[in-house]
Amino acid sequence: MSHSIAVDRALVVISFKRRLAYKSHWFFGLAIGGGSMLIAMVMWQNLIGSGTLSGYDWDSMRAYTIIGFVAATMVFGAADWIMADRILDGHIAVDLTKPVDFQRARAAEYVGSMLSTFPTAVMGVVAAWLLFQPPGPATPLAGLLTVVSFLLMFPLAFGLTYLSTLVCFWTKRYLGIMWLREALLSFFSGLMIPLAFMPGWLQAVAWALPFPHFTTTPSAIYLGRVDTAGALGLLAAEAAWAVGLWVLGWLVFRTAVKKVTVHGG
Amino acid sequence: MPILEAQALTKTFRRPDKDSGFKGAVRHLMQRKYKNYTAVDGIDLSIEAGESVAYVGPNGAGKSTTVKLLTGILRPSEGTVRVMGRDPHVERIANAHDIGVLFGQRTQLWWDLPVEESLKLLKHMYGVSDADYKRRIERFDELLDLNEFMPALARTLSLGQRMRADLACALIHDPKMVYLDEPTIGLDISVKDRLRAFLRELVNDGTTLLLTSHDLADIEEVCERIVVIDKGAVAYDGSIERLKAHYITTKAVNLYLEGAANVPELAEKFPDYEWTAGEAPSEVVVTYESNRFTTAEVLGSLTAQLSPRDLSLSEPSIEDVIRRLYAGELTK
Amino acid sequence: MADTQTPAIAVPVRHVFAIYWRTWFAQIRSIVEYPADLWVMASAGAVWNILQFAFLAVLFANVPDVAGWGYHEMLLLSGLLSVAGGCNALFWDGAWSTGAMVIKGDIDYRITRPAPVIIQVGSSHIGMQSIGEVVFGVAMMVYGWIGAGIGFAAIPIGVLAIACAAVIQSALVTALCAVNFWIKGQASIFAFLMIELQGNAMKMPLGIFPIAVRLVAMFIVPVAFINFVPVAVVTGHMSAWWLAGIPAAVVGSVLLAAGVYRLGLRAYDSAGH
Repeated sequence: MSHSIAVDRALVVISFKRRLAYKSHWFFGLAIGGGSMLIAMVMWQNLIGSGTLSGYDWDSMRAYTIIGFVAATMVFGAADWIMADRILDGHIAVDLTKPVDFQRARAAEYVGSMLSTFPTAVMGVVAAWLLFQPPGPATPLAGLLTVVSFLLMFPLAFGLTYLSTLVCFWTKRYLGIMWLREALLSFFSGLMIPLAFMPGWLQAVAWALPFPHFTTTPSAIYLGRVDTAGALGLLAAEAAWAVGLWVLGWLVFRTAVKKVTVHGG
Repeated sequence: MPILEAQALTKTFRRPDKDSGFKGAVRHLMQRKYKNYTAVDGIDLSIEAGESVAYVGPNGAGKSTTVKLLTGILRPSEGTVRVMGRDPHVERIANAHDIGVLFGQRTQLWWDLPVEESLKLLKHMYGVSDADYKRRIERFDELLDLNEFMPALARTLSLGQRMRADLACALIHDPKMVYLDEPTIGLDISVKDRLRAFLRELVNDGTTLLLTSHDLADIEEVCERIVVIDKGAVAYDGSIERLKAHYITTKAVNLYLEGAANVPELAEKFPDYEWTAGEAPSEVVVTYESNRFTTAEVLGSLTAQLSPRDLSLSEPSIEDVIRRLYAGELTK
Repeated sequence: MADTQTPAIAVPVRHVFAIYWRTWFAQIRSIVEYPADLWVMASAGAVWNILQFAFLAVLFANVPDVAGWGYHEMLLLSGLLSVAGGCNALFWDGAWSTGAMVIKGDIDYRITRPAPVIIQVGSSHIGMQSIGEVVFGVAMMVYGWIGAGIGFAAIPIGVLAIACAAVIQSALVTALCAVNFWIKGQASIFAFLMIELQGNAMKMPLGIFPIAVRLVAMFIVPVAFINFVPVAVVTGHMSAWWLAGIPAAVVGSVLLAAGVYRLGLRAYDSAGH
């Protein structure tokens, strides 16, 4: 296999441009993500008022909600269907004949499509910043580490999505799998409700999964709910998940691809 | 009174006018421009009950659009359609009972259901009685071997099976007027033959048929009348016999000479015929007017003077005529 | 639909219902062909609902009420919303395929058949996630109903509310999916936008939102009549008079869906030429 960085870069760029060309993606990403963010703001303002809940006051909850919006935009706006469809419609047989590593190629495309959510995320954040004026990061270092945790979200989101699309080797449709993944991610990431609100055993379950790194990790670092050592620990866990899911994806693919010979639309 | 009558039928589509690529998409977003595209341009068509009409034309000539206008799927931009006196778009439901439609490129079978289930749903939708349904299924089975795949899921059928099942779907309610848009597309020879035999039977039973196809054998075997359209307008409308008699005025002989053929020299030698180079250097095509010379005369003079290694006669087909009609070489 | 332009030969309503149910039952029988999909979809629906339940349980472990609404009342709100969405998927999932059918030209055959196109499209698919949604949605409702101490007398209202919720939900989704007759696309983005925002907002009491949002949810896109109004009435947050608004919302949304679909079919230009 002669798979070079140049191939990766080309795939990222193509996928990025392809997604960017759909102007409706921008608009609806913003409408759905922005709408959900506003609804969450209204809810928390109503519930918290001038007090605190599980250590969150109205100030920190505004920042928390905006961080949740960015994570959701990145992970829900990426092109997971393209991967699933390649398996379902049998295109994968063609992919396997190319001198490109399947997993790496899909990763490059996925990262490109995640990058294409950038305009939506920026517009949403700027508007939210003007409307809600959230507090800044606890320390400049915390701000920097928050950015790192967002960067680690790229491989993590890919690993999770890739694994779930591989289930399509055993099913005829992808929709249910996607819903299942998105439901679990919404809940266990803290997007629906912060993990700190949950009873201890449920928090333990959440932290045993890769999901908390999609909202809880960046927001905890940003708001200074963990110190620098804690932040580094969270980032290490996030990176470990990204690597672990990559390896797991590779193993599952190796098993699944044996079915490819007779799999068709 | 004709069973189908279309007058000055016109359909214009509006298409976004944008450059390809990202820049084009953005520019289109800024200033929306559209182009009008006339797919069907003032077609007059009148079909009597019991006729079998072939509707042919090159890709993009407006065949499918016409079928969609005649079946009420599309609303005409201008002009009128009457099928048994009704406007098929306005009186859609009443019209639906009288027409059967097949689009060869698409299926109307329910994808995840057995073929039999799809047919039963249609039986119910059209209000076909049990006795009629049973009789028709038996007949379709006789001619199309339906039972072979009745319990199979539609998604598992081969193309030939799918087309036969779709034909049964289109005819389950014994429609008076049947539209078949490319019913043999992608089929192998044996299935095509079977389908054509079935269609001939259908026409003999008095069903009115409008058929579009790129396979002219379909047309010659099934239809009596042919309507050729090009760029949305009728280029020819008349019987297939007349088309042949009228336009097939030349015949051709292929000669295979011993050495390389010198076309200009031969043309000078036999000025009454038309000479063109063949595929091989030693091959040459001689075209002559069939009302001036008999084939025997032509062959006699050629073999006497050139003593060719071999020769073959080619019968000009309807295909040639239609090709020339498309190319604009012939006029009405 | 084009056929409604000529009332004299419209299809009898009973026949339309018969066509609908036959198609629906035929699909149900075909579902068992792919058990893996059935289970994935059904568990996706179930998990989604269980997590909604969990969300409320976690929230109410931290707060006593939301704008005066208690735990069990909010369970009713979420449960009814799930049942409405589940019924849409169970009985009318085909509406979501409108955009894809328009692009592929799959509306063509349906126009040539003697039955309303909207019925043929609506019954063309069953969303199997509905099994999980309806079962767990009803479970949430029952739990909330008992917990809120509403009693047996109001049960007919609850049953009627479910039926109306299913119709309003399906009709609004259909109307928004029919936008794809004009704005071409595989995905029904407008309908999707509606259910996403509805799913987030309408599990909350409407009172926490600004007046503009309340007006839209009541009178413009009447999603409030799907779950909020009936639950608010049976729990005593709203006067019983508001119940009259539910049939009005049913009629209004059904007429809207039929009207948009009919206009869409007039504008339909089929795929390819």
